[in-house]
Amino acid sequence: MTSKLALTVLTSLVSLLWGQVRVNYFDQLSEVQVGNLPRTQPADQFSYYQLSETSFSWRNWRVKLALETFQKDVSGQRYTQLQHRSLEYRQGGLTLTAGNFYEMFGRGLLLRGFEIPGAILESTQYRTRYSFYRDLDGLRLRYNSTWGDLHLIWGRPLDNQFPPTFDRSVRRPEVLLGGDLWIPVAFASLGGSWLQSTHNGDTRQYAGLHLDANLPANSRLYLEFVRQTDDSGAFFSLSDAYTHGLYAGFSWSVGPFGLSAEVKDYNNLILGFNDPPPLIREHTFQLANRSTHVLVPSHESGWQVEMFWSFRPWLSATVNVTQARNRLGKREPLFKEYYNEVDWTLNQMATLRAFYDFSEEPLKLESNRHTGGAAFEYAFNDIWSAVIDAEWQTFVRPVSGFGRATNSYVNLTLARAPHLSGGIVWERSTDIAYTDNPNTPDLETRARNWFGVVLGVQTSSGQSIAVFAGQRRGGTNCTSGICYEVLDFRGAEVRINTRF
Amino acid sequence: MKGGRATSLFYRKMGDRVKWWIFFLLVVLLLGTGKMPDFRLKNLKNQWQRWGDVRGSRLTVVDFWATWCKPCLRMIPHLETVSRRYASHGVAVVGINVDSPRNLNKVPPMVRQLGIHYTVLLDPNNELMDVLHIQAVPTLLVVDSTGTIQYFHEGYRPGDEVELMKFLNRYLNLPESEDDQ
Repeated sequence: MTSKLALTVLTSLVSLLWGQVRVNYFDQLSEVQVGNLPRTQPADQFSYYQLSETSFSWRNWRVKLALETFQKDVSGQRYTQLQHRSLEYRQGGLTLTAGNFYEMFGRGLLLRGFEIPGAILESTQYRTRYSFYRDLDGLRLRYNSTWGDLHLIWGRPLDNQFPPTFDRSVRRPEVLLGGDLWIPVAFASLGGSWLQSTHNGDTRQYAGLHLDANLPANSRLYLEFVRQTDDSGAFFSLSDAYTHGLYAGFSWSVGPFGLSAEVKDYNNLILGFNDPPPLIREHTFQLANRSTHVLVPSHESGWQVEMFWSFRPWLSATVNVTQARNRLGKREPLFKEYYNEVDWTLNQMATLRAFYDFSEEPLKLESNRHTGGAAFEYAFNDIWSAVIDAEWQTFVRPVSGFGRATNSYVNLTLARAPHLSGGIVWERSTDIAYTDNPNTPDLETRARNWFGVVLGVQTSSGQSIAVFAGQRRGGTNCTSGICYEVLDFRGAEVRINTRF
Repeated sequence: MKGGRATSLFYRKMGDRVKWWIFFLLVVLLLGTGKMPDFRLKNLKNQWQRWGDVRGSRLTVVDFWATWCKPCLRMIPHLETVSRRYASHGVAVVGINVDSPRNLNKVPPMVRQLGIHYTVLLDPNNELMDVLHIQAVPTLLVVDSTGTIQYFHEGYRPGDEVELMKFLNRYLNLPESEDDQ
């Protein structure tokens, strides 16, 4: 009876608003996993995850809704929740938002909300799967004009360590109030931001200054400095006694050469609602990506220089040098990385991409780490193509008795443009961190292997199906500038994306 | 008996859900979807540009890309070709760079190094991506003069550029040989 009444009301509303309401999108992501999480208790994994998202517009108004559900045979891990609801009004340069929203001040040293579309988080602790986002729930005002750009926010940021099975009071314990202003001046933009966070009656204040300048000769400079302001230190102090963040980025290009140089100094900047630039290269090769140094904003300083040469259309090269020093009391572990990549178009049908990386990662207990590999892509014709990607890594764990470890990765993919692709993935590791089973008293050293098959189908209107079967190796995964942990998985997984 | 009743209830509930889903889908299809909003983003010179400033008179090819995304970089030379070849037919190409602050500093030199001559706008906090609900990079859209999205493709494999040009030729009533010119 209730559903019939709701159907009538909805139909009437649609009739009334016919021609005025527009659906911006109605998308669904569904994923079924059947299998287990190796070496985890309980290991069984039979779950269904779905995220339905829609957005409507009516004149100057826009509504966005997202419903997220996770079903599993363990009751405490199931949930269905309205993950996102927001109402937005736009008039000229003014935008007002109520509900969930993403916001960034400067380059994210003080505040950055974000989402990684399609990424699903799961930890061994909670065993609940949920989408990867960190938003604010509250109110936002944006106003832009020729004189500048103003953002004001009030809201509760999400702590996405806790899955949706936790109460709102646990997931959104803080209240933020703040603003960010950019003013264009001649060749640059100058700005400032202010932020206040309140948590259980404890209030903290932060402020920042930023500059974005276009310089002569195709060069550009960005500077940002943020500080917690309710302590006794001078505003521009870089002392470790005070919460601060300094980021500077310079870029320049001439002819076939490009350069990007960046410096950072972060202290106690683990705020829970920010995301400072890590200044660590984001790798696309699998083994290098998994070994990405993860920023520790509570105590990290360093720099990154990246140079590119392009001899179009057949050759380009990239060199990246990075250093990051952490301060752990008297210890100051130093991360170092030297990365080289060549992208070579052999002819109209064949391309080769190869890399070599040397790094020292004391925080992960990986010393003298060498990683290398190559991806060769061959197009048989305008429709069929194949890629083979082979990578190898070796390092020493500076722990008595552990010795040298190796990781290998091979991926072969065959694709039929634009709708079909299929491939096989094989990984092998002799790293004690992966070979040892923590559930047994013995120290297992036998090499582990992972073998999986992937199939992807996509239609021209954006519907897609991806099927995975076999074993998938877990570890750090970095995508869209964010790193997170992925769990080992063995079984079958089907992911369906529908888009209307 | 009890189990049978529970199963029957489960299927009835699932059936209700499916009915609602189909009804909602019909509403969506009737109302029409996939329009490009009038957005505003900064370009590489730190100046704001609106959709109206950058779109083509007949079609606009919009490419969502990032510096760390290798398939995106593979597609870019083909988009440069599309930009040159179809400009006289009222087609514009617009690159939307979605690099986060992690890689934002690398975008201007890389754009010059890649030899991109079409417009590149910056969406560092994925606001346009969110409005259009773009899930992956590269994603390629072709938008007509009314703002309706006529073509949508995620990812890049060799041959995708041929499909794109076939679509443009079909839409613009150009001979298939146009892509060989």
